Amino acid sequence: MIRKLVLILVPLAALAAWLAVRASAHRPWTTDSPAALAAFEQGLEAEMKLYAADAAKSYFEALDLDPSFVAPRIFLLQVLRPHDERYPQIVAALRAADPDPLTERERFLRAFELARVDQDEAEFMRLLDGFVAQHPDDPFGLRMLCQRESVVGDVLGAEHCYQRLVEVEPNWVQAQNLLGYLAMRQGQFDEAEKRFQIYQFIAPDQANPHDSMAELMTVRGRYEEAHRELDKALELRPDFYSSYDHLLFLALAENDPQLLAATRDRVVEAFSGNERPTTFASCRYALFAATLEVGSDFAKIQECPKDGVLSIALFHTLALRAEGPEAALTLEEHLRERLKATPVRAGVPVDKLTSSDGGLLLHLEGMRHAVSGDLETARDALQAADETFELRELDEGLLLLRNRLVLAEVLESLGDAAAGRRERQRITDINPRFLETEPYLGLPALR
Amino acid sequence: MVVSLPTTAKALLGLSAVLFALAVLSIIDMLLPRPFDGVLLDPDTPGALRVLDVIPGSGAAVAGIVPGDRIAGIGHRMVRDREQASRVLGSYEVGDTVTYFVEDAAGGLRESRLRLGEKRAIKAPYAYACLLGFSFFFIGLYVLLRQPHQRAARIFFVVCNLFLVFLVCRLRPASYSSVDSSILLAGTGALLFLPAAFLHFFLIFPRPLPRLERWIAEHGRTAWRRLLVVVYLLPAAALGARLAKAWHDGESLSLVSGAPLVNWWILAAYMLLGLLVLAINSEGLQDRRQRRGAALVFAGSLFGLVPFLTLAVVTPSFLHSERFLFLGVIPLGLVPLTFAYAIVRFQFLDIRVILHKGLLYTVTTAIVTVSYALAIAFFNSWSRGTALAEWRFFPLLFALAIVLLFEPLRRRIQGPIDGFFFAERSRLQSTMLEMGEQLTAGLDHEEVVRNLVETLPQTLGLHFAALYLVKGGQLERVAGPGYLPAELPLTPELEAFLGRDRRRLTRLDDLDKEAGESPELARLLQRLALDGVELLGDLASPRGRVGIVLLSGKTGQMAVEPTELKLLAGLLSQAAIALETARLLDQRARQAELERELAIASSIQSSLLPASVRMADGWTVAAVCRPARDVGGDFFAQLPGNDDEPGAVIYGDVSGKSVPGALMMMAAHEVLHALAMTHADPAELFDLANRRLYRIGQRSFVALGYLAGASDGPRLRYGLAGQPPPLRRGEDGEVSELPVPVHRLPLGAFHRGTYQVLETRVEPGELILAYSDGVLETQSPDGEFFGEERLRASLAVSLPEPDAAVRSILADLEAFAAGHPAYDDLTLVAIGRRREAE
Repeated sequence: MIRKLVLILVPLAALAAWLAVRASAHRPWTTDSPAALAAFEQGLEAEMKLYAADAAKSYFEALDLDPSFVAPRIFLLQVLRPHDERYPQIVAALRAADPDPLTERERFLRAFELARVDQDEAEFMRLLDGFVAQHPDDPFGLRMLCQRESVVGDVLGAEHCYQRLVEVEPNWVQAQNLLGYLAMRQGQFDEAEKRFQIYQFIAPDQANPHDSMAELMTVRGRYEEAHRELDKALELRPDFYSSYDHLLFLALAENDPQLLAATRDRVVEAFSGNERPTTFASCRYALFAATLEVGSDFAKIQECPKDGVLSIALFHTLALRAEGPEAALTLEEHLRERLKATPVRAGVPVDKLTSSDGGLLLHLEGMRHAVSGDLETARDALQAADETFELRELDEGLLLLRNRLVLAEVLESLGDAAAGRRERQRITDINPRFLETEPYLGLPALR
Repeated sequence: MVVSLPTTAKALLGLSAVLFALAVLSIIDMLLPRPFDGVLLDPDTPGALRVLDVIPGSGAAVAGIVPGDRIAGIGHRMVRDREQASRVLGSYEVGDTVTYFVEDAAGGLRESRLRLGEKRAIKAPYAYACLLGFSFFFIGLYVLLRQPHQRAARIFFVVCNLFLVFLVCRLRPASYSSVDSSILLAGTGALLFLPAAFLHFFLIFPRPLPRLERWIAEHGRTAWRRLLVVVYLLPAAALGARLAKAWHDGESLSLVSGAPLVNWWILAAYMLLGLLVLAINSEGLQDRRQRRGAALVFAGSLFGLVPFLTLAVVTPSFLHSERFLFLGVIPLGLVPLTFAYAIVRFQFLDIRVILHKGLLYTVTTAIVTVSYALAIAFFNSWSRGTALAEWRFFPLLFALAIVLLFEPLRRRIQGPIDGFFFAERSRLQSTMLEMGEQLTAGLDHEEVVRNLVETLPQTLGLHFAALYLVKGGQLERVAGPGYLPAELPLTPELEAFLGRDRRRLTRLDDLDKEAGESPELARLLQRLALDGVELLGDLASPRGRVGIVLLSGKTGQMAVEPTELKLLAGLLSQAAIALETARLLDQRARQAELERELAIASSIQSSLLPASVRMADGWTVAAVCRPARDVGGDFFAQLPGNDDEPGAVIYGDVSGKSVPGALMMMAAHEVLHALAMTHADPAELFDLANRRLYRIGQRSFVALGYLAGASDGPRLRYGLAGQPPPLRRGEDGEVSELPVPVHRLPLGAFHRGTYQVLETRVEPGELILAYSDGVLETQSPDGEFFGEERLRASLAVSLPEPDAAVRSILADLEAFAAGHPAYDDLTLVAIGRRREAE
């Protein structure tokens, strides 16, 4: 009897021990408090959905429940701004924490954040590479790697990285959103739409996915859907400025001055007392209205900040029209200086880093030459700009379409109707309605 | 029913308990209340959460989710595998409305809101598969418990368990639960070993394939075991190889119900091979019942498996569609059905199922009742609102129809059911009854023997039957296998045992106690057991033991059942009577023949006796001879005389009666007659006759008396050889004995004898009476002998004439005997002298 009991109990005990060891080995976060862990995971979920405030709240809650819990401190450094009064305290506590009991992931994240705080780029790159090499499927490591790929402008690398990230953790909204933009950038519109749809599903209460979708819809010429998405975004977040801005762009694309004015008014109403967004909206309105030739004061536009490549391009065109090539040249020079001043990241070509500005410059040059009659130079510049432009977002997307239309006009003026038709076809491949809406984003007649 | 289980059977039972528990828990798991969306996932694409089917009326169905869709997200969370989906679903309650993210077959994404249902419903096809699986299991369990020592039964049990796991676990509708993956994996595991077990079973059942047996004999059992290992492991190896290839090539392996197509092809090959082996095996079966059972199983397996293989193997291979897989499962039901029927009807796997008629009748009635109820319900619903239903006599008419039709319908169904389940038993009973009638109706001994030794074994499926009849205290084999003993001793212990309690049938085992007391019986029983005898049937009629029947066991592995023993016992009673009757008839016929011969012999013998005898002139003689039976040993005769003178009168009494006595009498008659022709001297005659008769032998002798009256005076010469002295009745009626010779040995008793002839005067009015000892030995019904005194008294009062005296004495003898059968022949010779002769 005893022997039977022993024969049964010993294997059971061994199995239990093995399971316990396995469970402990796979414990991702070092805490003895289940409540603290739950709060922390809630914070992670909120952060994945870009609810920074909610995430911070959950992290602090986790710390209240388990003051020795290190991981919340790491992530608080990601959601809090450096000027937050609690920031230094958290950094200090993190530095003081003993890394030995931590899991490997926690040790990496701690070291990485501290290196980032110390602005030791080489160190946090080294740490990142080392951790990802050992744990290629860790979502946190992947997330940081993908961010790096995006920043250095390696589109394909970033795309692969984010795709791997969503395979591992599909609910990381940032990844879905970025993949959507990456797909749009590469002209994979269906894929982009899917990504934004997924984003909308994961974060149904967020305005951003609708806003992202609206950008895509606007670029694609699906204006009604764009309206619906922007309406949805603003319904969810009436103070989501980005959507108002995109609504202004939509009004421009639809050649709808009423909408333009109405949107401006909505911004003023929504952000009353907040100068920054109302100023931006007013400036945007002024520029777009002038572009649509509904009357606007060019001097006033000149005072406005030039935000976004399309805005700069529109302003350039207005300057050409209003003040002639010299004003345009001044703008171009300014842009050129900006390009030169951009710090170069090691091993990354300058034009890759700021391809928007590079393309913009070429476009402006092309426009100037086109208006001045130097069509061949204009053609070359515009073609070069087209090769540089990518559909990173709505702003650049519309500019790309505008650039192609100017190019088409130039080619046709040069007598190459076929090439002109090809360019127009390339426009309608992206946005079938772009050519229906005059005055084509304020393009002057070139023929 | 349950016999002691060998270790292997116990181990199998243990394993099957685990598998059974797995199957039951699998079904219970499906019924546990948990939030369920109504989606059944494709089990062969676990990572993709592809919808295989949608429960009608479920939340998913209402939300517009259709087969082919992919579940990408649940509750605003993207899900990449079942485990994740299951975790997310687990955070909801039944009744919650959840947003699903669904990708359709074209790649389009949409959000669908659906309400989570209460529990997963089991659809009809899966319910059918479960029913089928458990049918297999319980049939296999029943077979194992009935035949735990039979290897084929154990393999059959394994096959049934694998079918259970395949049908219940592999065909289980898959959903999000991680439990599904484990259960489905178990089902796939069963699929890997099922075809090999199937083939293995038919390689050894209904009998080991002769070619296989020869191969094993040639190569040894170790080689056979190794081959079996290869057969069993080949599907798993094929799966492993296929998976390895897919992994190496980076291709996505297409699975059909959990296994790649190569495994399904292997399954098909094994199963078809198994069927082929069964067909080959069945052909060579000797036993008719086994052949029929095997044919039935073959048909059921063929029609059950071929559609399954076609729809599960061929269709996915060539049409790349497994939509019809489940349709192939439906005819699989034929396999357990035919196995069950073969067991019940043909004692397949040597199992006899005792079905109680009462239970079947109850079931039949229940079925008819349910059918009626359904018909009523249907008719009611159909006729609702019609004019017929409104008619006021409709309910009455309806009730009447039911009452009138119910019983006839039930009885009509009963007939086929009886025929279905009890055909064999009925056939056996009617065959035995018929045989019994033939036995009692026919009086032909040969016919009875043929029925017992040929027809009976065929009917019962025995190897042989042997008939032994009692002859001279022994049992002599009359019919049966030659290797059985020609004779058997009918030992007292055996006789006593058989006679006790009027046992008709006895198993040899039951005689152990008696065998222990008698070494001779023990040796006999041992010998019989070695020869294959199992049963001993007593053929005893009311008059006595006629013989015994030795019966072997059945050609299969079953024992003779109690019902069969009962029928057999009745048959043996009838056979015993039939044999006895046949023997008696035979005896009677022979007796009748003998009687006829005796009558002839009597007639012949009578003809030898002269109608009358005479002596020389002056003498009167009367003689009579009465045999005790048809023929006898007494006689009288007239010896040949000289010229015209009559010869002497002799009267004899042969020792022995009936035919032997008669034959000796005739021999003596002829000897004396022949010798008398050449030898007149009586003493010489006696001497020669003695020597002659002595040579005949046979330990018979003849008591003879010689009487010769002189022709010239009242002198009577007489000689005696063994006969009692004659009596003289004087004129005054006084009776005296004549002087006897000194030597009067009967003729033929000794080689040499001395004989005297004496002479006496017989005056007129005197009577000389010579007689044989049969006269004195005449018995009355009380057992009293007539004796000399009575004879003298009878002679004293008789008339002096010889005829009258003889008649008178005969009458007195008859009166004395009063009908009591005569023990011995009797002869009377009376001689008198005529007065006028003086």
